[in-house]
Amino acid sequence: MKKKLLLALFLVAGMFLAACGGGGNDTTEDASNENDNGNEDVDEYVIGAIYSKTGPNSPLGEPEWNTTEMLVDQINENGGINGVPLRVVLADDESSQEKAVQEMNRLINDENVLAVLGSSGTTESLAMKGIANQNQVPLVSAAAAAQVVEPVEESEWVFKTPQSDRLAVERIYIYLNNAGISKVGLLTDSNAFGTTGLEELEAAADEYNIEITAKESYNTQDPDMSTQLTNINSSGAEAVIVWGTNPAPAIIANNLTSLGFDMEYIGSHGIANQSFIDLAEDAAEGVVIPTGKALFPDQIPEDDVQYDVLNEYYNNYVERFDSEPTNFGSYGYDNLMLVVEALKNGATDRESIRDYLENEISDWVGTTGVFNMSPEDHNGLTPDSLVMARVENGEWVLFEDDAAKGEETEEAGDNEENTEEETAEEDEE
Amino acid sequence: MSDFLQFSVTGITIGSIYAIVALGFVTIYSVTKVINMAQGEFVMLGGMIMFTFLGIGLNYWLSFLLTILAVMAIGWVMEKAIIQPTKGADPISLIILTIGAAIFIRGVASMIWGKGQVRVPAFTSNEPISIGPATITPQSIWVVLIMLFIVLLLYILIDRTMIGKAFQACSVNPMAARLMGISPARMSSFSFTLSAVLGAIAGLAIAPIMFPAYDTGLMLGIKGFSAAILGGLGSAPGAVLGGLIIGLLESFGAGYISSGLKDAVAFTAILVILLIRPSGILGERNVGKGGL
Repeated sequence: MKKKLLLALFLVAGMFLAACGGGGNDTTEDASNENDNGNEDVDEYVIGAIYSKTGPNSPLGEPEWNTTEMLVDQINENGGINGVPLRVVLADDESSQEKAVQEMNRLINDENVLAVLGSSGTTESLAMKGIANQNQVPLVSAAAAAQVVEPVEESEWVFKTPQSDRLAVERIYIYLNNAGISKVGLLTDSNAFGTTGLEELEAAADEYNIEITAKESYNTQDPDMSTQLTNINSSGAEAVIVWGTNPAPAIIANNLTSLGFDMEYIGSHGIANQSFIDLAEDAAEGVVIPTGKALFPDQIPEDDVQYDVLNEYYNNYVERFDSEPTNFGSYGYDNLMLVVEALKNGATDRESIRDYLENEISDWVGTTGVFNMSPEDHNGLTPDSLVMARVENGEWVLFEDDAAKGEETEEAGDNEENTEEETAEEDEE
Repeated sequence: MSDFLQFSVTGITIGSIYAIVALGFVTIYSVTKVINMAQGEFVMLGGMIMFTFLGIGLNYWLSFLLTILAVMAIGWVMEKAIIQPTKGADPISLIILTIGAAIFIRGVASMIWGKGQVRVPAFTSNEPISIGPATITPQSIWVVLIMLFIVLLLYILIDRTMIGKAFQACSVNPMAARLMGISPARMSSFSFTLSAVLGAIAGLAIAPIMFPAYDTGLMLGIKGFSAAILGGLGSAPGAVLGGLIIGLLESFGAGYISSGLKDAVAFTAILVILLIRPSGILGERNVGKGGL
């Protein structure tokens, strides 16, 4: 009896496997059919893209994935790239390193792609980096950490579009210099995001004449951070810089309000989302963060070089998907469009795409910022690609910190028509 | 000095949160000698279900009651589904089953509510109250009060009523209890239901402070379990004491030593206490006779 049961189980399992295998074959067949169609005019550009559409990083990966799909359709409707259709093979790494490696190998060896975009998270991107260098395939990542493209000698084939933590730190320090604040306390998450933030905050402090009076940390799930805030307050800090992702920064905002300390709350780009405001509500008012401009394209001044490209992208995205692209969507945009730019200009094999990205991208206007790539810098952004945002009446509002202090409030008040609703969350790393 | 006061107040706030979770562990343990690893999930469900009821526009206190009933039902079903059918299995196997239940509940919760945190409004206004130079939020005071109320209730229930005697009898010797006409099965079911209620109340009290998410129960479960062990498993006052000690150790550790080392400080102290008193501060001395 038992043996029969076992046998039956094996059979079922076998059928299951066969079904899965069949499914897999189907997709490759589809792919090769498409390939045949494309091959009518001999050429078609094939790019691979790996984003975390599912799993913990899905708030990052989903807008990136959607953006890629949308742009490919737009490009092909407009006659492709110099008349050659573009095909992007999209793959989901499920926020897992193993899957990312698997898909990376498949794209390079089976699909024979010209370049790979992705992935959304730092760990996945770092895993793909080695394969990219080994196989000499250009990789454009959407991950935040600077290690993805540093040190540059080990990142010959790797580029990335999101601003590194370093830039966010510099942007905060520039703001502090303008605001006349020089003493800050740091309150950082003990996870990877918080510790890299802490390192960068410490490293750049001297350059901007910032004195760090206290360094405190917390765990993402801690229920109360009053103790750390009390210590920071006693150290004489004029502002507290909180480096983490929800929910802790919202709890800290609540704690700071109830303690009533006179310290400015400066957050990281990790809370550039509506959910921070939804959680902290009143306590969020006045919180200041550095963020990419895609958080509120309609608030960007019209004379900004990025205004057109950002708004066109933003409106198209909202129209098609009925949701906000968020900063992450903008990384997806720049990743693809950088490679398209190379293809447009005749760089149509792996090596020339890499060379083009490294040497020819200068003052290239994307949605994340204005890129100037070089052999020393495979990110190509400066701190001005980030703007400062402040919570006013339950919304993120852009404000110019280099303007005189009195004007700030007036200017922020003008932006009330904005009805941002952003749900994406940055649980990066 | 003012810092010291604030550290103490914060420590008590954190400690009460751990203690209120720990009380749920104690209830089930004292009847069945099972440690319910899904206790943190009951707490999480308390916060999340409340959020849903409020979201569909129900009155605050009506949602409050419905949440308790909903979680109670889940606790009852869980006992019926995984504890009853495995009659006679030893506590270790049952504990492993509850871990499975916890993972299952967490998975379902992440599908229903997604991965983001939710906000639940506080019981009463959120104007902070000053105690000398230190401040505390009204919700933290509620947590302390509810915790004390539950301890009192449990004390009366277990030490002063027949049901409590039956609880203890099942714990000491289920066979003898059965011969005396007590149904251990029914007592086990009752204890799970009761601890689900306690978990829900804890979740409701903590939610406005912590912004619950599908995975909140994991951390709370670990801290609550530590508190219960420290106080002596099976003792409700012990659980409270354990929770408060851990909370204060964390707060003073963060305040006076280093916030990066606060967990290390707290858990080193717990280890030392447990080395001196292996059965916990208020635990029964006959460790090894049942349970772990």
